[in-house]
Order: sequence, then structure tokens, then C-alpha cells
Amino acid sequence: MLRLLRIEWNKIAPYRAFRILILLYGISFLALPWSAERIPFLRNIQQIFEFPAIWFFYYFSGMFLSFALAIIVITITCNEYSYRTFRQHVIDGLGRNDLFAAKLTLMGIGALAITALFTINGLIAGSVNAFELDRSQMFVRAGFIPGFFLHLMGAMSLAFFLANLLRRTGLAIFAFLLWVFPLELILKGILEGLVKDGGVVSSRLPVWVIYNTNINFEGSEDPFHLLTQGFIPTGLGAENMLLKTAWVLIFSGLSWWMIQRRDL
Amino acid sequence: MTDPTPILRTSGLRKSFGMVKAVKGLDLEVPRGSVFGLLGPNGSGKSTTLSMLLGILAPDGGEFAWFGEAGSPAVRRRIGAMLEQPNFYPYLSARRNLRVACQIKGVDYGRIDEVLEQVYLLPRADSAFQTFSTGMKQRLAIASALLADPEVLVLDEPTNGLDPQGIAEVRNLITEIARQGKTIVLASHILDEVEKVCTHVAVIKQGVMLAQGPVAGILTDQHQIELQASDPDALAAVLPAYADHAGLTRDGQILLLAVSGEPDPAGLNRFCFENGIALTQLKVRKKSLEESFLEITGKH
Repeated sequence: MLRLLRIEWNKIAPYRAFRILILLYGISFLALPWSAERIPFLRNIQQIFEFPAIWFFYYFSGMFLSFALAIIVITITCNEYSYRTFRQHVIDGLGRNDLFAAKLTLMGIGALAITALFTINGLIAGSVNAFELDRSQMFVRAGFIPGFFLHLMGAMSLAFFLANLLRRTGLAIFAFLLWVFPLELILKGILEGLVKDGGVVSSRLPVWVIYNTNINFEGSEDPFHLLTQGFIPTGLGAENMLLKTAWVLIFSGLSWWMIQRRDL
Repeated sequence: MTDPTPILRTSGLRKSFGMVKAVKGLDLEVPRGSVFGLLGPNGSGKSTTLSMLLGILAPDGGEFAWFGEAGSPAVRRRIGAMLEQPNFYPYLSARRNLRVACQIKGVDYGRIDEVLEQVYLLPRADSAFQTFSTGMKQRLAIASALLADPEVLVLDEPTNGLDPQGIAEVRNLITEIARQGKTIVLASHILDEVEKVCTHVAVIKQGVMLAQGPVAGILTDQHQIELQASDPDALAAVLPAYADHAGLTRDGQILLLAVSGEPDPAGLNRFCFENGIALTQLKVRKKSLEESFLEITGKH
């Protein structure tokens, strides 16, 4: 496994697009919980940067940035197809399982590292921002930490699936954006409006599950509004965590199947 | 003692793409230490065959064995191969690209400079792959194939798209590598190339094997007579005394006698009988290289 990771690192570390994207992502991601004073409409809801609300806010705002990770996953995977290096790796003596395992491990390590940053940065920002630090509150909403890890894995495995399916960077990024924004919402609307008990399925669709905040977005109940009312979502809940895990397994499984079965 | 197991053996290898049958039951045997040419026109199934042998395509039927073992990642690490075109990361330097290959093959980085030197690319080791000319890319692919010091090299149309100088460089390289005792499997549609660098050849057309054996036997410019007897050793011992004898090669049980002048099968038969050998087969082959290739690929 370490060997596969070393191979991956040798390929991507000198890649300029990767370096720029990961740097921009890192800076923005670290800046998020420190941005309170500088964002006008957030200035008045100071408590979202304090314990325990910070975990929810960091989770919620961090989700927007995970598009950058999806783009990275799509780029490095589609590159393997367009440079025909997946093919060459097999010729040189990697198994198809190795091709899959190397990328999945890379995503897993990346998600773990980002989750570690999430935790440390969240703890520091929460402590510094606290008007009066109450240690008992620090980990009250910490369920968002593993939830964030699963969100990252979900977003990246969806990106990985689309990259293996479409094999072209531009096409896969477009498909990702299309799916995350209008496509699934349309499907959700159709299911709920036209199919009896469609809600059972629509609440389990991948993007809805992966980008879930356990908040009802309809009407005026956007997260900022809720926070100003003093409401902090308690966490993602076991069902959502299980569903996230299930979609990670499904998208990874489909990617594995495609790498096994299709010509490289 | 040399290992009698052939480097590669295939039996009944088949592959179809939809309705198109690309390879139809191919039986190959690549002897150790040979430079084995896979000769055939474009679209004859050479690359499809190599793709199956290198794990890229799954055969529809038949079997193959490298070094007597079924194909696997571990077996492929003992092969150095370049299929169709050099595949590298364009943004990485030659050296960094070879590092990736080293890690896959489990080879020490120390080999990188050696192989780059061997293909005359050491001065450009730190240039990005995308800045290379077609010939340099081809040579880097050969360098990569040489990394693990493999027993066998598989090269698919290695001179494709090169200028005359590039072609000469790559051919010299292949001859040099062959001199080190490595087995080379070389797919080509160029008769001249196969004749210049190969010791053995298999001629393929539309996925079917048309002929296989030593180059001298298959692509000869002399008239040849194929002979068989119940005791091939005894036959081989008497043939040098035959008046028109101009060379003798042996392929298993079959002896190929090159003759000067017009072949005289009746005379040869009489000669053998007078020397106490009854032939079980006598077949006259003829003509020039070009003709035999055209005949082999044309009559089917």
C-alpha cells in the first residue's frame, strides 16, 4: 500500500495544476473559520465561530470547497486515461486492483489529512474566537468531524466514478457539476411529485446524502437564518452517516468494476 | 544447460471485437534468446495479440504462458514492453517518469542513469517528456522497458513514425540489446526490418498464422527444400555431402536445406535413398524475400 502511495505521489507532486489547486484549497479551507470579522453578513452572528456551532459551520462551509477536491480527483484520474499511463502501468506489472487501490488510498489519506486539519483548525479557531472558553462545549457537536470525513470521501468517490466512466477531464467535471446542482434536484422533484412514496428514494439520492446538513433548506430555514435564531443542528445522525458510507462503497465499487472490466 | 522452456508460448489465442475477429486461434512459440519478429500488414492482429499477452485485453479463448507461467502482474514485471506508442506523463521529466516505472517494477533508482545512457538520453534526463522528439520518446520507452533488466523485451512497431536516422538508431539499439542475449519480440509490418534484426519470424494476416520459423527458412532469397525423415539426425548428417547444398537449418523435426541453382527434388530424393534414408516429406520452397512475404500474405 505504501508502495502504491509512493507511486501516486511521484506522479502528482510535480504536477502544476495539482499544486495550485491544492494550495488554493488549503488556504481557503484554513481561512474559513477565521473569516467572521471580514464577512459583512456574518459579522452579526458571531456565535457560529464559537463552540459548539463552529463544527457545524465549518462542516457546512467546507462542503462548498470540496468541489476543488473533486476537480483534482477527476483531473488526475482522467490524465491516466488520456496519457494512457493506466495501460502502461498494467504492461509494466501493476494489477488492475492496484490501479484502483492506489487512487482510493490516495483519496482516503487526503480525506484523513483534511479532516485532521479540520479538527485542529476548528479547535484553535473555536478557542480563539470564544468570548469565554467553556471546555465542556468544545466537543458537543464533534459528530461533524467524522461526518466531514465521510462527506469528503463521498464527494471524491463520486468524482472518481465519473472520471472512470467518462475518461475526459472537461466532460467529467461538467457531469459532476451538472449532477450536484440541477440534475439530482430535478430527479428529486420528479420522484417526490409524481411517484407514490418517492420521498423514500429521493432522500437517499447520492448528492442529497453526501451534501446533507440535516437541515431543511426549503422556505426560510437556511443555516444562517437558523443560527441567528440560536438553533444549532445537532449532527448528521446515524442514518445519514450510514448512507454516506453506502454511497462511498457504491461509487468505489462501480469504479473498481470499470477498471477491472473495460479496456484501458 | 540452457532452459528449454520457451520464453513465450500461446495456443489457440482468440479475440473478437464485436463482429470482427481480430485474432483467430494463434499458436506461437518464442525460443529463448531469439529476436522474434511478428510480421504482418497493418490490422493483421499483431497489436491485439501483444495486448492480450501483456494483460491489456482479455482473450476470448486460448492460453498463453510467459516463462512457462500464466500471465500475472508478477510475470509482467519480468518483461520490458512498449505497446503501440510511448506512454508517459508529459509534464514529468524523463528521470521522474522512469522513477514511476522503477517503483512499479521494484527496481532501484540507480538503474535510471544506466538505461538513459544506453539510449543516449542522459543529457536530456531532466527535460520534460513533452519537449522530446518522436525518436526520443521512442527511445525513452525502450529505456523504460530495459529498467528491470528483463529477460524479454516486447516492442510494437518501434520505428513507427521515425525519420531514417531515428529508424537506424532504434534498430542499432535492438541489435545491441539482442547481442546481450535478451529475447526480443518485435511486431512490425516492415519486411525489411524483420529481415535485418530478427532471427525468427511468425507471419500473421487477418489474425491467422501463415508461417513460423527461423527467418532464414521463411524469408529466404534462396530456394529451399523442406525435408523430414524418421531419423532427422541421420538426415542432417548426410545432407552436407549433397552437391547443391548451400546451408542447412533445423526447426524441430523439420530440416530446411538451402540449395544453389534450381531445385532438383528427384535428385535429392535419390541421394537420400542412396545414403540409406527414406524421406517422409519433401517440399520445395522457393524465391526471394519480397516474393515469399507477398506470397505468404497474399495467398490467404
